[in-house]
Amino acid sequence: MKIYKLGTSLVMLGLCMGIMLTVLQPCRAGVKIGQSAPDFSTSDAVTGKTVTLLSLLSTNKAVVLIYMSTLCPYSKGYDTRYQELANKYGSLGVAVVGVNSNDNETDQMVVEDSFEHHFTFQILKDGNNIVADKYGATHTPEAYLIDNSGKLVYHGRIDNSLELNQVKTHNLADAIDEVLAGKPVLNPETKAFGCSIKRVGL
Amino acid sequence: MRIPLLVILLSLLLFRGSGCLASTKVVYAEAADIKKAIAADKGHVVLVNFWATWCAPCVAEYPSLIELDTKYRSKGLDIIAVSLDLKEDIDGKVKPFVLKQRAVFPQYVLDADDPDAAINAFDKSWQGDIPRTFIYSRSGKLISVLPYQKNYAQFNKAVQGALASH
Repeated sequence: MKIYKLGTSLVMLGLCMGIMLTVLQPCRAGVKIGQSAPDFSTSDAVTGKTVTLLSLLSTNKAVVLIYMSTLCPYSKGYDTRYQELANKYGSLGVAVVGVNSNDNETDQMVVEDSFEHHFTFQILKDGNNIVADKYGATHTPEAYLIDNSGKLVYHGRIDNSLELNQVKTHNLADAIDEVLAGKPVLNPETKAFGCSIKRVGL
Repeated sequence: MRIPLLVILLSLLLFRGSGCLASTKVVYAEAADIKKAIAADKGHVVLVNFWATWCAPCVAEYPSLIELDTKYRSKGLDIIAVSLDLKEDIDGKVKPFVLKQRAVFPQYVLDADDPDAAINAFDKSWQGDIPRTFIYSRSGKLISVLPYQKNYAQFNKAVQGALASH
């Protein structure tokens, strides 16, 4: 009888695991609008210095994390726009920080890509996609805006189109402007297509 | 007699090689139109694969779709490919890729002018990352979501399960 029960349990466990593998996405914590953004500690790909969210918040009015890639053409289509955001908002006290969580992209690739595009903003190398998992980031490009109190106030796209001549809404810039003006973000969640973050083991 | 026979056989081979492919159309469509195509396919299991020529993992998994189509089309599986390439890349990138792959299942390029609406039309929990594959049951219900690149065995398992369910 015990053997029968054990067998049934194992079958049920197997079924559950099978369903999870085929139906569910890998488990990621994620963060929702209005919640405290998770702190992290990872290194600047260029300088090797440790960067934490708390250290960024201590010296800036807000922090923008942009998950990006050196390989994804969709992310690379935004390379110029990343730098423009850093130029515009860096001078207004907002830290625009790139995060590379792709397991198939090395620190060296990130450094070379940064030099090639003359990026002046920090790019963090998120080994083992720990930061991406904490935030629930799925693809590149994908942006998170954190206000000075450490709360997530915007999550989503940079704008509505990869094609510059089709851009109608500058969603991330609008959200930053609202935060700087002390106003609530009117459109705190948007979506866009992009390349899946290449996580460890996937 | 041998030469005409050879010509006929070669012609047949050429016709077979190009006839189906020449009929493969790539349709630029909104999410609502693609959803209608899925809904109209009741009675079949429908596998919808979101991909793009610029997406390396998507390109890598595409041959598995061809294999699935060959193996399961007669058993009730319909595959629909939805590309996220730009409209102006249909002729220059999407069609050449589809022809090279010898894909004969329906091909769409998504009009994603409103990304939120396009993504939410398929799955509200989806953030827009590709590759991503949705499998609908014979009754038109979404029964399986396959994020990230999948290999043939993973696709095959999901399709077999869908075909076996009612």
